Amino acid sequence: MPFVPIALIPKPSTALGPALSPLREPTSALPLSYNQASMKAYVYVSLKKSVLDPQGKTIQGALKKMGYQGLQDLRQGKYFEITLDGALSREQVQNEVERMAREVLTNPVIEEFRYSLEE
Amino acid sequence: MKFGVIIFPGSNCDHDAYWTAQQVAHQPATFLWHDSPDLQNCDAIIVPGGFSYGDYLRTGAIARFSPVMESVRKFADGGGLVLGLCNGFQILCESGLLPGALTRNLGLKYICKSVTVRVESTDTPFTSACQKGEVLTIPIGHMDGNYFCDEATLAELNRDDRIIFRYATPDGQITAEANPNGSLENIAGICNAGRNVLGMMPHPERASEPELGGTDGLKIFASMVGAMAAR
Repeated sequence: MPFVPIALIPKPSTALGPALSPLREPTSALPLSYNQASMKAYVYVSLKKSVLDPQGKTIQGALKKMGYQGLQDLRQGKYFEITLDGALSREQVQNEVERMAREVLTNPVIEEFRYSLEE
Repeated sequence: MKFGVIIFPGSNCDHDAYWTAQQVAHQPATFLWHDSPDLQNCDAIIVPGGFSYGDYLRTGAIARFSPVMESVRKFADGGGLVLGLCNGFQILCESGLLPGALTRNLGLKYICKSVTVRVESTDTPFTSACQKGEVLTIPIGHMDGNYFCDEATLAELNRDDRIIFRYATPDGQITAEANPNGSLENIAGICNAGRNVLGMMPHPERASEPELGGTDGLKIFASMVGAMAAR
């Protein structure tokens, strides 16, 4: 294959249309620059208490069988590490992370989330 | 009556549904690629089974953002028939066209086998050719078929006769043993308030020809054809 500068390779069209805001491409054309600090968001998703967690129960049973002490309950969840553009204000980051979590990362029928930010 | 079968990346029951509509139910059928909002004037939409987007994040969680789904929502709002099978049911729940969610099977195993389901309501365009209380033998094949919703939603589904199929014993008893995946109240299929959107975990397209071991699933397609002819 002849040499093609990376910038000239056409971007594959995204499978998800532009009409849906949660999954559209970032509107900012700016790349992460070296001197612009990025922000990290840590999002924890867990099943609501009212929802059965058969995986958590199985893990709990296994740990109990292995002799670990003091185990009262165990729930399994999901964890997302998201790096965000440092050009965004803290408030904007909070806004975007909450939207991502609410609209995509969780199904509000069965799940809830919490998150923390790190600059 | 023209059937449209949506194809998402990862759909794998699309051809079975297309075959059943076209070759067994003898209706025109077309595939609809998920990336286009054009429903091509179809009279009924099938959201097929499979593993759309690899089931990443949650089953149906990413597929619901495909451009075609906005059109499906409008189509459903206008009274169009939408049938979600297995992964299609999961997608319809994620997109809010049906209430509740399908969570991991209670036994944590992928289950692929024929089950018996009882027809709880014939008051839908999908079950009008069935008898109330009739037991259908239809295969399931899923990892996340454990239907869950909150108590208020469950009460509403019961009150409005929107639970369409329940897992049952072959003689029609609703028992814990007949429940393969832990679903609330043995729920195998529900419809929306307008009764024009149905989601079910069993695969009727896999039980529509004698060669496949049974034809009970064809009753769903026959009901739809009959309902559309009557409109």
